[in-house]
Amino acid sequence: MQYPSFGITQEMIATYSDIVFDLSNNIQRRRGDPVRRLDYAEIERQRPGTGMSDIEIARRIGLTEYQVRYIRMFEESRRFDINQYQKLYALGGGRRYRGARYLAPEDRYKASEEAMALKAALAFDPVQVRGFLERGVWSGDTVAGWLAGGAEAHPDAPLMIHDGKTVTYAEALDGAQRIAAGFLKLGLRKGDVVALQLPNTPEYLLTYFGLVLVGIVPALMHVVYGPAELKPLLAHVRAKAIVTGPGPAGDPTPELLDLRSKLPALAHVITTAEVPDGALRWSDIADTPPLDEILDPPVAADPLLLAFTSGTSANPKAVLASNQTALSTIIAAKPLLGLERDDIIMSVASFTHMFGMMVVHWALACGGALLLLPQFRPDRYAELLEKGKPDVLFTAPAHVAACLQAGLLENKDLSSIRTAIFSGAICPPKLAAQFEAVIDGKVQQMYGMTEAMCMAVTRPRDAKRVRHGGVGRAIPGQELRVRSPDGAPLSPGEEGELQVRGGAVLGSYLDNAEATRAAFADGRWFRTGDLGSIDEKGNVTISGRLKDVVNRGGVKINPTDIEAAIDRHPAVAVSAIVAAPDDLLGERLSCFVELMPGTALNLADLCKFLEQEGVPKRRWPEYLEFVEAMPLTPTRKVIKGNLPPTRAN
Amino acid sequence: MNKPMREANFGVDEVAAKDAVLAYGKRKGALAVGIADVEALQKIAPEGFGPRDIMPRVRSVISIGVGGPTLGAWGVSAKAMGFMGSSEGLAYKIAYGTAYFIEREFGAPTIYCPPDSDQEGGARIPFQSLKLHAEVAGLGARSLAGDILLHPEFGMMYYGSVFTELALPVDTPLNANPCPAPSCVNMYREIGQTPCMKFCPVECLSGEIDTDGRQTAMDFDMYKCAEMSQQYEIVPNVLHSAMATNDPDERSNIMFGEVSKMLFYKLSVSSGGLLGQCFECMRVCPIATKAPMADGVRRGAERRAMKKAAE
Repeated sequence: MQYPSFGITQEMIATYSDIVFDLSNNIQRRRGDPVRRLDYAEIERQRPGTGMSDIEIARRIGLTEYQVRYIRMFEESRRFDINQYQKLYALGGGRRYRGARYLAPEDRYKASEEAMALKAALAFDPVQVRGFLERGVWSGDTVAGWLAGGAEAHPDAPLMIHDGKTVTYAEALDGAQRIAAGFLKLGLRKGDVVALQLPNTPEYLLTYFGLVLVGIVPALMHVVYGPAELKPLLAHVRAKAIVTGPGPAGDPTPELLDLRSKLPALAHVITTAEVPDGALRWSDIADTPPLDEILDPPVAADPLLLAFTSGTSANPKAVLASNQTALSTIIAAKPLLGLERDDIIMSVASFTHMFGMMVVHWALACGGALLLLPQFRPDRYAELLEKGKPDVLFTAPAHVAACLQAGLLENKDLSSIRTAIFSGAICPPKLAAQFEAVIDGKVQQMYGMTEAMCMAVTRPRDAKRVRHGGVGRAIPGQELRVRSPDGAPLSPGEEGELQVRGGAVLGSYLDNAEATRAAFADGRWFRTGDLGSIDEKGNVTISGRLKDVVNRGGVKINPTDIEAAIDRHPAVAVSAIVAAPDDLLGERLSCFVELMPGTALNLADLCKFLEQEGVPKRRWPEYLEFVEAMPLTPTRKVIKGNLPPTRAN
Repeated sequence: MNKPMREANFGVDEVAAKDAVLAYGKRKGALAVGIADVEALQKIAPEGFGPRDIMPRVRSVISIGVGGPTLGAWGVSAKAMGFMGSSEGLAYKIAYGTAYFIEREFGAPTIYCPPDSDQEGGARIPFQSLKLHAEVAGLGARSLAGDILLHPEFGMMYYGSVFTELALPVDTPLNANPCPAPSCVNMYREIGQTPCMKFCPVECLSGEIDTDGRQTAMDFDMYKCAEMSQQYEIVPNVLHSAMATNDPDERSNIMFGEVSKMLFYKLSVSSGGLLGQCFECMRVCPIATKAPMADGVRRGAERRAMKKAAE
């Protein structure tokens, strides 16, 4: 850069800029008090230190006045940090500035690329959002705020009851704050994803609360998943850490440590069990001193949690819930479920499922306590139902059916149960009536799914016929409708696909545009894939599913990858897995196979083959059927609806 | 005809005229009014910035001091104080009025000294140092807080100046410098810093105090202070950055981002609040906040008492 009009060269700027800067008013060094004393000689002596005018500097260093002025101004601009004023904003009334305390806004609120990619999944229709906000469907509430509010309002009230011990709201907040600090200390920050795979224990809940306090997003991982199933899920959500512990299949920690080499984002494996080399101890994280201040606490529109709706295939469907979407139905359904302050609430649903997490949020919303059952086992379930004295029970029909079938609820005092809410699968009216007969309270039903949370509930004052025979009416903030396969409206009572629209419906599947496109009908109606009907009074009845997912006792199994494995068997030409109705589990996996000519196959051999293929045992088919020719579309897709019913074998 | 009048000081008695000027200023809300010696100012001011560089026939420089922020202002957030803390507008208003008053009453050409930047001097170069006028007129002494003037009775004041061809008896600088206050000396002896040095957000202040509790050195990185409290570099910086980038999104962010939009708003409505002082040094200064007459309420009570006594 040169300034020929003033005879300034770049070399002159380089030579004189510091000198001019120092001689000007920019740096002022006064010694004594010569002006007040009118000590002219001393004033003159100190003039280079106290600041000279451009004329004086020019004379002193041998440049023209204009050359000095331009060099000074450019040097001032070069040095000037334009963002310093932001430090003023960090000062409150009477609060003194400290460099160590100050964090520039661009650092305080900086979001990682991963966090930004995650937030992109929260894509909603602006018109709908305006409606949600105007009608109060979406609020400014956060889970972190609810926990902190609970700890302030009723610090000594229990939030968790486990093994006869309680964790109060205040203790939960303190524990969560320590865990939050522990994760921040590991280098994680708001918007990062941490996989959470623990049973329904205080450790799970404290970890969940700790993460959400600072806006780290928990990704819920089903406890039965092993490393092979976890790998695509962890990769999909770019999890930076996983919190795990011993599960039904043992402790996955060593294998997860091996997995780190294949998952570059996965930096930490944290376990509640014995700590192998390379893993971190959960208790060490939980012992971290809490932070004085959370710099960028989450807000309602921020991501809250991630949950998967289908299996562990290569293209998972991950639902990202924000505080707004997740809490909208909690707020709306709370009075409809009759939840009260100080209720003891028991959830059989795993907290690694959205159903379980909804129960956690309901407990926070009403200031209640969660009665924890780490993992479902009929005998323990039945025992806790009596000894834990829950006021409210959230359960899947299969859980209750298993207990009733085994006679485990006979002679039990279940009088504490005011309300039992069935959800997660279709509930036979007979089962609802049977259970209501053994409790003093009422059975209600709820219709929900990961993508839309709670959509409908029966009301406490509904007639038994309504409460036992269907899932109730849409809750405020959610709309339900039924459509024919071609999208046409159906009359009341007619069966079709249930579609939902409302404040709890997901924005989009994370990084799965194809699944998102397929999931929504015009007007952002979410296609549930469930078959059902709605009567004149708005009562919803679920009659089946359009989807292929098999619901085995509440565990939803996507058969696509199992079919792919079976198709690799030398004896198999083509296979298809469908749901076989089951009294106990609701559904089991039934496999239809068209054999290669001249070959034979039995169920045991098929299962042995699947074991070799790495398919976990719980995903093996329990029935094997043969068809002469698989019903296929012109594009050779199996028409599962044309398969014959499964025969027990 | 004018020349003989000047030599005869416009036929005005200097002492009576000074009394009238001081009374006018105080009546209009000034806390203190003093007359600075023009000869002293000419010697002390940097070349080109003496009173005669503006008004060649000036014979008196009148300095007017008005009260600083309310007591409550010291307790509010710094950004709020940036808007409300200053009351220099009152000083300028009284100065303007004083200039008219002198011309009307005594017939002497008088000007209100422009407080703004001298466009010939470049950015941040004022026409005159109002602070120097005030100091020489005895309205304050230089503090360790970047030479902000402090008065033992009124604390921190804002200043306006009036130049006049009317000769007036000059005042002298303060006999003693109230800065550092005894509590600041104690703190300095313990930690090597006074409150203003310790709490400056950009650490632009340092200095030394001798064993007698007097200032021996005051070092002030003014450009650091300006970075914090003034934002005149931001406007050209925004425009330059916008022109320099090839990324349209980034350009939009630069032009329409939070900071830019605020700046352009300020420019469009000519609101100067953004150029607010930081004043963290004064917030912790015992003289600025606790001098006997630093409290506006107390000043008001005193004023009312004086008025009542006069009646």
